[in-house]
Amino acid sequence: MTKEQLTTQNPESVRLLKYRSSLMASGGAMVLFALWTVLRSIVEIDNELSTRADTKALMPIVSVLMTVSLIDLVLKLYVGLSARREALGRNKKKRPYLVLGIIIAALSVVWVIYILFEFPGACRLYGPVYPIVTLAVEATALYAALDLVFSAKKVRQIEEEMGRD
Amino acid sequence: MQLDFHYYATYCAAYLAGYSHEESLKVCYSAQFPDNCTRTFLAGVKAPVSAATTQTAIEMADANTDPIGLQDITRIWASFHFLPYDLNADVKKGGNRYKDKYRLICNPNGELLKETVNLVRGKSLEGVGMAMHILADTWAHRYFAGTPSVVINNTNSFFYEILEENGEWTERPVNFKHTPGESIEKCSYINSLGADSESFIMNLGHGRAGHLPDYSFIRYKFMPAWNDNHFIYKDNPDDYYHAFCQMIYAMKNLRGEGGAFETGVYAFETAAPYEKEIRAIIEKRQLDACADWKAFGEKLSGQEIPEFSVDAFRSEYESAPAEKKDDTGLGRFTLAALAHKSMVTNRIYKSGSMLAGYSLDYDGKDVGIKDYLKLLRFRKRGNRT
Repeated sequence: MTKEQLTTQNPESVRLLKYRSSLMASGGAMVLFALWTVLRSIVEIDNELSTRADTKALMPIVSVLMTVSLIDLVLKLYVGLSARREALGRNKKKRPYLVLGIIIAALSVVWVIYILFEFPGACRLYGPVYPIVTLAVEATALYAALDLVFSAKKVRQIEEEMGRD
Repeated sequence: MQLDFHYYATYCAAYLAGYSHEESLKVCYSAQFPDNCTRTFLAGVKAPVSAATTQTAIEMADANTDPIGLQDITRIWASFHFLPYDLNADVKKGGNRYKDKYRLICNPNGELLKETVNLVRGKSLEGVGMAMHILADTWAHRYFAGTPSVVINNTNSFFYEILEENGEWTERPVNFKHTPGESIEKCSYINSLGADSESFIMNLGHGRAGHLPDYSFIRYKFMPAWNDNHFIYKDNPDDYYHAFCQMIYAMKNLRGEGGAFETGVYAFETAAPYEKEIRAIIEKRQLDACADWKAFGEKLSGQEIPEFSVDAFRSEYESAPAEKKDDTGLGRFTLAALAHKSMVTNRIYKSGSMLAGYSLDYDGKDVGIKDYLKLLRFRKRGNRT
């Protein structure tokens, strides 16, 4: 290599670094939100079981909830860790995490809209703190998911452009 | 930079600028002294502790990182080791706190450097030496700030050494560690511990880049958070040669050659006969270039350059009577240090930043921090630092 090649950056590589850095951060956020979802599910299940007299009747719902939480955990961990691998340039072949990321982002949009619809009722029922915190956390999760999808697409696009050059 | 450049190379530059052997020794001694003049040292010889130009590791570990403590740290490190390049830089993004810190980033040829050199004009050789330390450090410590800041001073995994082997240029990742022992061959260097806390002392100056800015031979690239995903290429051999030639120009200028000191001017023609030799010393892959610079300096002047020892200042100061202490080497150095620290603090304060604390106007002409009063009294007696 020449010194020039090692010491100068073209605009594409600057953009690639920017989106890789962004992908790294949003991948990390996705991993954290995966763990957060599990934690929240455990707290909610425990809360329900401790306040109901007949817990046996709740068992089917609890089982479904736990299964969904586990699927959510695995999916988000896969997407988050794959995104971080791609950000580090370690993905040898293109993984399907981007499709799953889009699905998570779409579900996250639906979830945030649902929370917004339910917001006034939740405020009356629980007071303002719980709904506001829930909305803030889910909106952040949505932002992370959208950022992950956008950054991953940009990284692939720029890598393709650079590959063509 | 370290002893090799601040002491021995400054001796060479002073001698080439026209100072005698004895004068060059005084200049280079004071050029190294900012790395030794701690509060602990000053308190030990009963000199004004406000003139401290550096901090020991223990002093730093003991320093508070509340606003007052941070201002004290910033006054020392921004004034003497990381002279800010542009205190009024137009920063597009970020909050005021970030902008203030960004403006403390050190770089050569700033307005403050001009003021630094012109401040010691016609004054003591100790002042000249101190100014040469600051000038040289603007080259070595460029791109870092003399205040603890994770956003300005932190480094990440993008850190590569760039080296030439048999005409072929390559890069290799720098391995930073926190245990003793550095290896040029393995590209393994010590740096300070990483900490996410913005004002943690480990994020002061170039600690996170280890001593790499202090080694003249190394070329590297890294990516600070403030540079918007652009890496910075640091060519130490080239920077150190510029620092050497700028020191010659500055000292020639202070000796009365050609008006006020201007930035961006280098005495290349004075260094030209020795360029090959100087560049060979600078580019030699070694962690300590003292022996080479010493040999070059002794060849230049034909005189022996004694080893640096803080005791030279200490014994003279301690043995002087109270009324004569300001006339000793350490006395003149501390007065020059107070004047410089006050000037830098004042400029930072006037730029709208409180990172170095308040600066007061004492008599419409003299400005500075509270500690400046000693200097003010000294000047009112009709003396010049």
